[in-house]
Amino acid sequence: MHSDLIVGFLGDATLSDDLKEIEILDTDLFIATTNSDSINALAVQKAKLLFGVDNVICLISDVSKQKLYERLGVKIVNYSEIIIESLIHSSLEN
Amino acid sequence: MNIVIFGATTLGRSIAEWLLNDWHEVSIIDNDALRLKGTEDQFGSIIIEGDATHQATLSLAGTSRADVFIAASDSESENMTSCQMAKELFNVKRTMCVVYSDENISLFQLLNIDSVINATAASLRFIKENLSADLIISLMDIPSSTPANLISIRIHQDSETIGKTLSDLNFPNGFSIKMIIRSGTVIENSVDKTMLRANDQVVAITDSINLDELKELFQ
Repeated sequence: MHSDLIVGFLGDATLSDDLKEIEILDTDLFIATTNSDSINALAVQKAKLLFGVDNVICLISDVSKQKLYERLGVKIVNYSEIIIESLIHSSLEN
Repeated sequence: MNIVIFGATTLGRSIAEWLLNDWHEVSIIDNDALRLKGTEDQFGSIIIEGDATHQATLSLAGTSRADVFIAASDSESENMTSCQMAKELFNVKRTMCVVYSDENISLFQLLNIDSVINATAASLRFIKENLSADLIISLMDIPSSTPANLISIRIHQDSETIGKTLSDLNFPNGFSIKMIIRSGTVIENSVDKTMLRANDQVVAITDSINLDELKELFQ
């Protein structure tokens, strides 16, 4: 991937004004990957419900929230699970 | 009632104190040990230490038995998550979420959080009321199909309305006067025919759209 295709933006992704600055209305996919489950959940629900972004992906570490947010149409990536899986794989390989 | 509060903040503790005095069953969740220690010293063993956005912590606090869940922490995103979990995973009938600006109110209402309370707006309202700097103060939003507002209008010393009765004045549609408060006494009967005096406080219901027009009328 060419680095000039990545545009950095300093802002708070839970604020509507900052989301408008990154042209959220023209966004096809919104992915929240901060290390706070709640901030990720707030940002993706705002993108989906207030700005109509159909495809949203939310990184979470706590499995108990997974069903709740999946029911609300948010695709969840659970990184605790991913880390555990890769730990198991690497320990099996060694 | 059985109430679970998230946030041993000054606000969360005040809510707990009020509910405990009224003999309700209260649990209060926070992950700050110091804040919890103060809460425990004040109210005894109603505290649960942990992350209120985790199912295990909510479970430990007895959220499945709660009638009401109140999120009053400093973090709006955590307040949102805990209210959503209380509602969807623990079937709590009534969830209340404290926010500190208008930013998230409409979203949280869309997310089925039953009451979203703007703590900053509530404080501002009281300060305005006490300063009496504003001619018109909004006392309460009245939820209905057409949004209405309970307001208080202070009659300024130079107001052109002094010496006139309310029936002399041309009010916009959707404006109705309920009472006049005059030096500590309430005038409720034949309000329309009462002559206005300086420092009267007129309490009325109006559609909020007309506020500017009203300001001009009472200048």
